[in-house]
Amino acid sequence: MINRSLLPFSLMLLLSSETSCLDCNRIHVLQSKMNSKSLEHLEKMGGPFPFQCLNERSAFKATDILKVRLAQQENAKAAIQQILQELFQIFSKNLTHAAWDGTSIKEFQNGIHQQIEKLEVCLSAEVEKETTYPGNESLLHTSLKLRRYFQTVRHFLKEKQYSRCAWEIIRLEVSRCFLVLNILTKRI
Amino acid sequence: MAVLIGPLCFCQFVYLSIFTTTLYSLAETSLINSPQKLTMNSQNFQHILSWEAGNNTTVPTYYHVQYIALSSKKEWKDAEECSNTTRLFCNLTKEYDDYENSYIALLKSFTEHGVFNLSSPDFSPYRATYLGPPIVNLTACPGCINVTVKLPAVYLKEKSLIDIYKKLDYSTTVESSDRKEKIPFRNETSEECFSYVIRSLRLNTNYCVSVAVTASLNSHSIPSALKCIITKSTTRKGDGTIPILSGGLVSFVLGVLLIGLYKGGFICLKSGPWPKVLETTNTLHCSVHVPDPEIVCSVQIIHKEIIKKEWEYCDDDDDDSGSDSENSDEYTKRGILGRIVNSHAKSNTFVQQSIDCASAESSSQAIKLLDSDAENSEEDQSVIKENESTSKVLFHPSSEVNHSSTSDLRNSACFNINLSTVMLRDPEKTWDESTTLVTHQEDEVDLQDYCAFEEFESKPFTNIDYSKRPDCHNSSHEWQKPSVSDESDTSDSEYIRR
Repeated sequence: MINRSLLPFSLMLLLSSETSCLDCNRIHVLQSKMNSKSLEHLEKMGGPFPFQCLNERSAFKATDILKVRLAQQENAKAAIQQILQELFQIFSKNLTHAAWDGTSIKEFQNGIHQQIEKLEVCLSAEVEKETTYPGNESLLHTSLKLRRYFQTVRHFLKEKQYSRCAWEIIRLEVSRCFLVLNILTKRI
Repeated sequence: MAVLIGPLCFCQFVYLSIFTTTLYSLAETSLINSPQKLTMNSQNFQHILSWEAGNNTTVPTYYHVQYIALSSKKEWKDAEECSNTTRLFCNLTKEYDDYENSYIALLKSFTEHGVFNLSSPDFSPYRATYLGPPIVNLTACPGCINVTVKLPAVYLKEKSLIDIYKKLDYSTTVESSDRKEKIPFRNETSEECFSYVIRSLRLNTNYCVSVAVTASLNSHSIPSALKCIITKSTTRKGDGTIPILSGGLVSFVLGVLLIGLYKGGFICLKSGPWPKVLETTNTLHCSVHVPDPEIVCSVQIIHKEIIKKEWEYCDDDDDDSGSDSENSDEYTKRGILGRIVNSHAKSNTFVQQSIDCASAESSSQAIKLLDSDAENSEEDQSVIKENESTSKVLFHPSSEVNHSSTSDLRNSACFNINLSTVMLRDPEKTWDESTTLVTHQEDEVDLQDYCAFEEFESKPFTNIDYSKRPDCHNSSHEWQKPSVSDESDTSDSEYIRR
């Protein structure tokens, strides 16, 4: 009896493991698609940029993320990972004043989370190579830049007490982050 | 009553005024040609803002366009060509130079009644501009279409679509005119101009192709217009000339080669009749070898007690005389004095043999055989037959014995003559009175090899009367030593010498 049930069970397990197996060679294709989806959700959250918030843009002092000299190919995955994690953290709380569409917020959050998970699977395989990294210093440099940028974002939100205008400004900025993500994804 | 009328009138007045104001404002708005439907048409980073005029077109309206970049810290800017314009559109291509930014356009309508503002929603050129249509060229091939795609130019300074987006996806739609089958074909490119082949199409069918280009973060695209082409079939008329020409060339080369070989003598055509010598080969090929008619000679052995003659004759000389050619069928082939190889011959008996030879072909052959052993007549008979068999080979009339080299000792007949037994006799006398050439007599005959020569010198033989045409039809043929005259002495001596 055990033998009878064991065979189909093992087959099913084998099949499921095959289907759930992630092809890390094609991770860039998946990430690219998920980037596009997440950006769509971000744009769906709110309407056009409110005119009254135009004056508050000057309060956002962070350097343009697109101008940040980002990593080479071997550091791209780590940079993407860091950006996604930061975004997920920022968009996880204090969104009430933004008055955005709740469904779109959740879809955005889920998308980011999936991207993080899928990238982690492929990134962990490369952790062993980190010890022999030739570009270790540049990776650290990029990481610091990104960390500083998102710190500024969090500080701005906190300062503006997560107001609607602050969120709208940040939403605008995050859409530019996805352009950076897109560039980085093409490098991997 | 006046008190009641008073409050009622006041309320009515208020309502009336409100109503009138509302109507007036509505009328005012309708009078002011407020622009409507502010739309942005963007294609390949060429941005044109357009709007529609208000209801009342008679009222002059001036328009002013401003724009602002959201991600920058800058304020509103005026569009250069769209200040105080009456046109209903504004080209903002140069203004929206930072394609990764987001812009808001503000349209101000100036009429005598006032200013009316209308703003556009956020516009990001990177994400919202329509890409394409690409330039498509088609070439037909058997069962396939070769598509060449060129990306459109971009209205940005020193930039191309690949510079902006790095990679682009393109999708091809192939439709057949009759069945409307759509075959989507997707791939990505990072080049401005690229080509690919659509395979697995039907032959001789009209297909229409359309190509659309998209980016990963920009799904807006304008597909190219349908271009139609007929796929080729496998059998092409034009191709028939090539195999025909090649076949003609090959046959020409072969012909030249054969002619060259013929001229060089490597190939010979049958120019004349076969020589007679070779004629029999044809018959021989198919049939069992039919030997020449045997020369059957009946031999009558006349035993005489006295003389045993042994002829020894081995002639190696060629018979080059031309007179022999006359006797080509006769004694030039003679040559033979067939000597019987008989090791047992001991007696001194002289055997005169009469040979009656019958030959279908020629009767010119004479065989003279010696049988020194009368006792072995049976053997002799057999031996004679053997000799006959050998001799017939030698006396083949068609053989050109005249000029053949006698060094070819295929068939040679040698006769060993015991000199002691040679007897000379006067033709008029009988044998009893004959004398021996050599005094001693030998008991044994030292018989050497039996060999028969095809050619002999005519000289000795003529003396021995061999020149006479041996008539095989004769009943008997006597070998007569006495017939050999004085010349025979010399001949014998000549024999002996040899």
